[in-house]
Amino acid sequence: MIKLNKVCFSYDGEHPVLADFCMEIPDGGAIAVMGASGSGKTTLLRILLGLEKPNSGEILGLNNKRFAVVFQEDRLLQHRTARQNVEIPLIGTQIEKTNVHKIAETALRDVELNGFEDFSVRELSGGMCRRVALARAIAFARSGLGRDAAIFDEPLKGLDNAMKKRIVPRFIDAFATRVIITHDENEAELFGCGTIIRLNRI
Amino acid sequence: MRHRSGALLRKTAVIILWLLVWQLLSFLIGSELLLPSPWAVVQSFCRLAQTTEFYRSILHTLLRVAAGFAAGMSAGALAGALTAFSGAADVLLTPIKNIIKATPVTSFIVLILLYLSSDVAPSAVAFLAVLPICWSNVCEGLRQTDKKMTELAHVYAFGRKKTIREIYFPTVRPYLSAAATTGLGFAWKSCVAAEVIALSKNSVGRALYESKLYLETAELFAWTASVVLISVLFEKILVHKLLKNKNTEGAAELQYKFDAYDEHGRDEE
Repeated sequence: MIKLNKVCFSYDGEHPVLADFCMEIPDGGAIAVMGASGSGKTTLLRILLGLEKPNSGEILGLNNKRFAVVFQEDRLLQHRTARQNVEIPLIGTQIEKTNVHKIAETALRDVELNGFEDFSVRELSGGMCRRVALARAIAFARSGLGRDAAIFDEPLKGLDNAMKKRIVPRFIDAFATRVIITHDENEAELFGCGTIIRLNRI
Repeated sequence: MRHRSGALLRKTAVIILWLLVWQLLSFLIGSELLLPSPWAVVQSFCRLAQTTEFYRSILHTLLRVAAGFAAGMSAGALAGALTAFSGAADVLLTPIKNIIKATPVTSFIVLILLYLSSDVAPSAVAFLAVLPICWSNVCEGLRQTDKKMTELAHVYAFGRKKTIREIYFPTVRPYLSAAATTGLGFAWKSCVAAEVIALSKNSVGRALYESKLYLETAELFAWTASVVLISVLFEKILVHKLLKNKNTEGAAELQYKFDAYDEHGRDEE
């Protein structure tokens, strides 16, 4: 379980983004974080990933946790192909190369990018790039490297509803514990989030 | 294809035009001693090309330039990385870079000759000419690296080696390429200048000096043309080598880097 207890955070020391924020993420739990722009959703993600340190409060259960992450932006390696973007986090680990290829191939197929594996990401559309970012997280989780939780920030941004409904059920099992940041309640439902936390702008 | 042959034709026409201007000026001046004709320079070049002295001088100068250039690029890359990542190193080392940048090459040559032999000094001068260029470019390139991508590397546990290869190097490569092409030109110029002043054995600089001393103007031009040609040739090779992987279309082209991780898929970290 990951527990945030009375977490306060401010970028400039004057305007708080999170104030006395409490949250529990049980193992195997699925939580959606919703709220208006500027309410601190992405800041919360950054704190969970250890990219920002809270000004006060405590975070328990984060030690040695490995997450599969989809950021708000795709953050793809522009000099690489779709397949390589998915494989690179797995390369250089204890996973055998043949296994790496298989995991990446399956993840790309799950997000309907079969046939585009060897395209440079510069040649792909916005929606396709989003699916490459998703496939990277799926592969990372399935390999066991990102086994602890999925932390997704608007993971289905730019995808049409039909595709969202088609692809999410294929990979949702890869992520036992899920924190999904979204604006869309349907997306929260699609990811099976039983708990919804609503953040308000302070 | 047509576009490429058109550009080649235009380039050739420009070269011919300037050769004609040179020929005309030489004819008007009427003294081979002051301005030899292009034909006299070609003849002198052919004569030089038949001597072993020519190749020995070119080879020695080339080795001096290569040594200074390689050392300057390596030290510049290292210093650039240090100053980009460490504020203390930036404060401590940047004044040295600025002094090197501002000092005239001739001052360096004379100063270095106090401490080093005339054979080694030109390489040291080339090193000092290349160092600040590479240093500034690498530092700037690293500072331009997208923080979001370094965060990705952190979250996906890339490790140091993979982060350098996948995140930093692609950003720094164009800066490094620009530093290499500019630096190579500077390395040639400063190395030959140092050879002229130091009168290094078996060097283009010494040959240039002696041609001037014996008023062999056509030979002086021929040596200069040789240096220019070799410098341009090496710049082309270097640019081709550094930029040939810029095109990201097609996985095969990129595969060589991907295979750099060992066959078990394990980073050598």
